[in-house]
Amino acid sequence: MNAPTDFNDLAAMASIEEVLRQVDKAVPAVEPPVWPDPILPGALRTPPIPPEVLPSWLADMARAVSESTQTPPALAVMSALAVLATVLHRRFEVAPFGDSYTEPLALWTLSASPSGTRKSAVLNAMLGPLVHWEKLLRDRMRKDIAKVNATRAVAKKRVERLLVDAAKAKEPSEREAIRAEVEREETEMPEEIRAPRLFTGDTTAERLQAMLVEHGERMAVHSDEAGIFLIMAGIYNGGAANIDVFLQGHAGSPMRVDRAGRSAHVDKPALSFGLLIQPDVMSEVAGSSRFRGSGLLARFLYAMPASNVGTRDVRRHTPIPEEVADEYERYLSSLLEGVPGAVEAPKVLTLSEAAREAWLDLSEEIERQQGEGGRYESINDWTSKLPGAVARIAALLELAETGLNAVEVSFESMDRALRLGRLLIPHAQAAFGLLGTDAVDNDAAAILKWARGNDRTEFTRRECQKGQEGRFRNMDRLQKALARLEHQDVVREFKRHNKGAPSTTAYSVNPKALST
Amino acid sequence: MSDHFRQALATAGLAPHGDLSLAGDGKLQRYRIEGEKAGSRNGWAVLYSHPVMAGAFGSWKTGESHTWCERTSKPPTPAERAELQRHMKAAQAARAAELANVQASARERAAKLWATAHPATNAHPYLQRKQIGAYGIRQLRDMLVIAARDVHGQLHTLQFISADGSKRFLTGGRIVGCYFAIGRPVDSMLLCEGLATASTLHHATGRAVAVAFNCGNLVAVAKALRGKFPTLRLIVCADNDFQTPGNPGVTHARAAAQAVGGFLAVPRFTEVAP
Repeated sequence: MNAPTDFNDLAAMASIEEVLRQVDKAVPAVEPPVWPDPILPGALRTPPIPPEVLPSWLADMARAVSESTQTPPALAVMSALAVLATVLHRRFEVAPFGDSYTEPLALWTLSASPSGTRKSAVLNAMLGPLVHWEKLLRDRMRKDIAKVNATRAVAKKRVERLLVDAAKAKEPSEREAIRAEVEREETEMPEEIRAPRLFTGDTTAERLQAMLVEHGERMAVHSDEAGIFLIMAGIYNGGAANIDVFLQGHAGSPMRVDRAGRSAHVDKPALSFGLLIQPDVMSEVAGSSRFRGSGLLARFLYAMPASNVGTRDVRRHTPIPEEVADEYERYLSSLLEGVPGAVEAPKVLTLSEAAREAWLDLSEEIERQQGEGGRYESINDWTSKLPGAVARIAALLELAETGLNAVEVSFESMDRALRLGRLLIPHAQAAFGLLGTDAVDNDAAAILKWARGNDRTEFTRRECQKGQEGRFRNMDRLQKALARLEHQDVVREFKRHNKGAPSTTAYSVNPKALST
Repeated sequence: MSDHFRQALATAGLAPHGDLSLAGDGKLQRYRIEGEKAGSRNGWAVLYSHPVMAGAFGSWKTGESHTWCERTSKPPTPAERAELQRHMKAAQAARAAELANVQASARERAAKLWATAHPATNAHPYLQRKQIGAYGIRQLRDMLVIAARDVHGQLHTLQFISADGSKRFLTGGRIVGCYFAIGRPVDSMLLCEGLATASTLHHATGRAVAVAFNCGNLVAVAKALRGKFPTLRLIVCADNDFQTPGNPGVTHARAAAQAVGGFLAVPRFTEVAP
């Protein structure tokens, strides 16, 4: 017998019932749908972020830190970017079109790595020069600060005393003389001076506003603890955190606070973040829909490197080469020239023509992919901000490469920033997947596991529920998990027609989700 | 007739049986193809001698057609090229006119033979071997006769299936867009290539089934059915020619289903393999 080819052969091989069963499984003959890349529940597959995306002195340091701490390079690279932003933000901006549209150089980075993966070691190594710089200036200014503080304290006490005397004075002339004395004391009281600060580790929104006022409208938060992230998410106050200061600090928009007991006026605040936190914390904030809705999450550049715990060589110890650390510190010091200084308008860098073209290419590429059905649709709040972030990174890299006199972002710096920007996309997809790691996400993961295990390219809601009766006692819970999978481009809903009966709700599974 | 033209006919497998005289005046002539039975005139050819020797030829039986132009060392002038194009258009028109005649003749013969044939019984060896019923088909001597009609019910040609399963059509009859239907459609209709498949599908599902006779006709029949039944759910049941490069059965079936917004069913043998 020749090889079977048609339904008559099928009936001969199996049965007439089998023919009916297979015909009933006829599928709509539409063009195969183009599926975007799915965000798999709980899955993390991200490309490495190599130090080579940074200028040589910074790349050397990031590489050395990564090797010394045996951590994925992504942690050191993201910290290096946050340190660069800390040093340069507020003093510089970039104007992609050379007009009034400018991007400040504040950068928010968030690297997620589990407990015990030496995040603190990475952070300490990268922040070392900034800590040293702050201490140096604090020591240098110690005498001046002490002198001014003493003078101010004496003047304040004297004013208090004078006020008491004035209240007791019987003659108007006597009172007038004391008042003039108070006025003189107030006028001559020296301005408070503070040791300059570049960053803090933990703060509140209110204190941050004050710090921006006190330290030249610029501040950064570098931390390997989740405190500030949880504050932003409103974990400590029922999801109602005051997040304006964070948003304004990222955008560089004027900040005006006038509340009882405190006021803060900052024209161009610059706030950068360099956070290294545990993935569990990200899961914890997943429940705060306001957090994502506010656009805060979309402002972070994420690194979600695969953990190398279990494969580290515990016998190997590679210290950071002194010359590398020295060069890193020397470059950062040179970039800190002029700090602290008068609060002036930021210097604006423009893009070279080639850099602008390359940047526009990326912007266009992103735009085409983030619409409905596009591969970035599910994270389009993040991708919308990516071109702006890439322009910021390019300007930071240019300043790191050529110094404070840079006026234009070269193609080389833009090329590096674009490479980094493209690498960051899958990391953001992984981060947003993780941010959805809640009960619904667990259910979604279970459905995907069931579909994979049973080789289901399509299934009905009923089949899915029957297949996992223990988990899905009711349709409500199943529906939520399916909605999550659909939102993350893992499944698509469609109607399956039934002869003489209402149509059935069915789902087709993204082949990419089945194969990865 | 030019030797080169004769050579072109032979190369295409359409060499004339005996002499074929073409005056080069652009008139279409029909002829007996070598190897065909006596009295048949399945071949056709048309030849122009000016400005260069050029022509067209083909077979009503297979439906194929070819064009030919004598190669010269001197390329044709623009005027010659324009005239050549006019000739070719005229040849196409002549062929179309002759095709209409041929098809009309096939319709007449089909009607006569159909009337002569008697309803087939399940005892026919082919039906026995395929374990199918004789739904609406007839028998003429030892051959099963299947009517190919258009959506208006007009009979155009017949398919003959002999006891050993070999199949052939009436020469020159129109097949494009014609089909044989089993059952009356209610809310859906199946479409497949061959009679045995159709009978099996009808038996299994109880639904109406249309036979397109070959995979190349699936799209035309699907479109014709969609025109006649705009709301019908059409399910194209493919032959799974998985051992043939390109799997023409599934490829054409999918194209047909896509063309009419229909559904596709492909027999899966691995699911039932022992």
